Amino acid sequence: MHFHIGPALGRIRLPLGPAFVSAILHVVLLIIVIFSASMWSDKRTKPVYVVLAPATAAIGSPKGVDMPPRVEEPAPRPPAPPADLPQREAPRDLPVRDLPARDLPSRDSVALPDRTLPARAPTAPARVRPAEKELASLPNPSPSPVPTAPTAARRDSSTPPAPAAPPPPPLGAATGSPTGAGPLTLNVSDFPYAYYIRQVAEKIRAQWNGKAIPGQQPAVIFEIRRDGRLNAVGIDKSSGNAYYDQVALRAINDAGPFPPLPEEFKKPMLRIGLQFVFDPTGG
Amino acid sequence: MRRIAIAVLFALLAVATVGVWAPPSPVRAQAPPDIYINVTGGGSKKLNIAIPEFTVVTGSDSAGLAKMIPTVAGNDLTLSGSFSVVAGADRVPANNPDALRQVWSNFAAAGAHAGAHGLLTLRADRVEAEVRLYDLTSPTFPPIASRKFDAAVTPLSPGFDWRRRLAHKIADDIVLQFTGDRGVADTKISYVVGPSGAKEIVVADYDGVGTSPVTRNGSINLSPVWSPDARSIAFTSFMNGYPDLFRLFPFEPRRGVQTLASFHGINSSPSWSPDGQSLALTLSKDGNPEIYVLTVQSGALQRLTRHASIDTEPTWSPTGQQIAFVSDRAGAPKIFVMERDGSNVRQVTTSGFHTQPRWSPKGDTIVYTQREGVHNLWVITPGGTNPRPLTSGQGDNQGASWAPDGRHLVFQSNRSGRWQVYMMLLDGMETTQITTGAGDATSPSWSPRLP
Repeated sequence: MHFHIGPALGRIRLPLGPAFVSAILHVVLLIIVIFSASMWSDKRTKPVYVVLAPATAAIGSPKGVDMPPRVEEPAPRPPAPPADLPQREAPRDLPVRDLPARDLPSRDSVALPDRTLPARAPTAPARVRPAEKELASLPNPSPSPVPTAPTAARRDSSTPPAPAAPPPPPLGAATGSPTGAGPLTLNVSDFPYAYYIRQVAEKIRAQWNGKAIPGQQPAVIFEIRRDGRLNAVGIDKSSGNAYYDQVALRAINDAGPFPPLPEEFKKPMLRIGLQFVFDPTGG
Repeated sequence: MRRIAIAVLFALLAVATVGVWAPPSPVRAQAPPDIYINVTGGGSKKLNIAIPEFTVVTGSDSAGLAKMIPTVAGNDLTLSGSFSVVAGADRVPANNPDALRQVWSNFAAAGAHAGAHGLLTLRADRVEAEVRLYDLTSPTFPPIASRKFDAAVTPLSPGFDWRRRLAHKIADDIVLQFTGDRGVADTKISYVVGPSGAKEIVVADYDGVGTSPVTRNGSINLSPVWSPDARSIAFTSFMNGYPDLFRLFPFEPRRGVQTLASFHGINSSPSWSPDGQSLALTLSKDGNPEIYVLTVQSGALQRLTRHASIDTEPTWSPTGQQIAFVSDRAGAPKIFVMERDGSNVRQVTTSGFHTQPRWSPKGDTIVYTQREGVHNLWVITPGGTNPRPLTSGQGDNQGASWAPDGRHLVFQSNRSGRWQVYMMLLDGMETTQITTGAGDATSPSWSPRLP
């Protein structure tokens, strides 16, 4: 490539020494900037967690979540890496994957599903969890007959409501959640659409069912475009086993396309961090 | 010297620039995610949706659309297998955000995750419906999307009801908004009705409502199959005394029946190529049943199989590259796959008695009928792996046909004592009877999405 020095510089002698020093300093500075930027982006300022356990869902900040009792492992995400390293060797025996989850008998019982829906009571009546205290911070949008008192009372008793009672406690207004029950603190998120998260998780879960292996829990990051198509998928935290990482990536890819993004969400892309969790209760 | 220095300077700059612009691994090292999700195992859950009566904005609703559309669309959503419709009698007044919020609040309390509210503009010749979707799982019930649909008001006939079609379109769009895949409510099924003496072909909405006959020849008409453009149906009929292959146009009443193949012997088992240009079919003109491809426009015929045994019931892969078929060349009939030109025949199913293969529109599955005392529906991958039953212990179940989403199937079953048409999901769940007529209902074919 041929290079011309502009007229202003054409005549004078270039201050080579200082230019060199300056260039090197610039490069060093650039490297520092890039480095710190990537460090910063890795830190993930206060991520919002969405935990979709089989029956209930909770959305809240990492601290506030208080997972449902099912999992006795440490809070799944951030600085977890060392935690699951030791486990990695044990679960090498594949047979753990118990397929019979989709057992035949259920098919018979579903021969004529309850399509006569009217007055269907939502399943899974309110597994009430302590995280509900976060609700206080929420604006209560309606003065509907949804006093917080009954909920609180139930929480104290800490026993699930009698299964016979058809309509669950009126949680909807302030506490509406993907299952109509359970705590939600969505206002901390840029993305206040619990239904969307729920639907995405369901699609991925359907693909991932039966492939869960304890101790092999990769975290992935992926992006959904406005029209619901996948934009990119990558491993965020490897499970340590390339095969399981690939299974996880594949589950995401096979789960698409996802629902179109809500119209009110203006970003061109929704970026989702996803942790595959092995549920020892079998869900 | 100066040149060298400048070159070095530029080299350094270039390195720095590349450092900045080097594409990162696909998604890492950019911004942090907007949200985190944990996914555990567990059964699939449906989305509970509320569809209160629509609100009439202008015009008078003498036809009762405000009630009918939510009812029909709600049933569509239930049949989609992805939704449960939350019952509730709440009405939404026009232009009253507070009242709307109250209605959503009540539905959310009843377990609804989402709400769909329709606004109707009724004119003499047109009806416009604006459907707004809301997220009821978030405390403020934020809107998700707003969509407009319109329909021309036309005379109602048994074969066409614009009100139901409008409802089906709305439902299909709601399914798309919440699942990422368009629903299949705006489709038709055709099937064969009648005792063994005369069998006529009828067409109905995919949910079995609005039956109208499309053959009236008093003969035996069999195996209707929709063309990929959903405008015509190929079928075998004895109307001229022999089993010949014809094509009818169900939405063009004045257009007559077209003869596709009337060779000596059997002309049967039509299967459309994905581009609609050709039909694979079974002809016995050369002695025993073989599979041919017929180009509809030119009538050109290409023979694909050459075997002394029976080769029949071809079905195209959605790519148009392969054809699956039934052959008893290995003993009892089994499913085989060959290339579009008849080459590279390989066996897909083993050990058993297998017929009626139908290749899924998604391409990854072939459904077939297995004889095991009674008949049951099974699926297998085209590569011959992972065979599994979809039906069992419920009488005979056979003759499956795929919905355009590759997720639903229709089939015939005698589980109620008479042949009727049923619908189910690909996992064998959510079986629903969709015909209830007095005669036998057999050989269902699910249309593509209507144009």
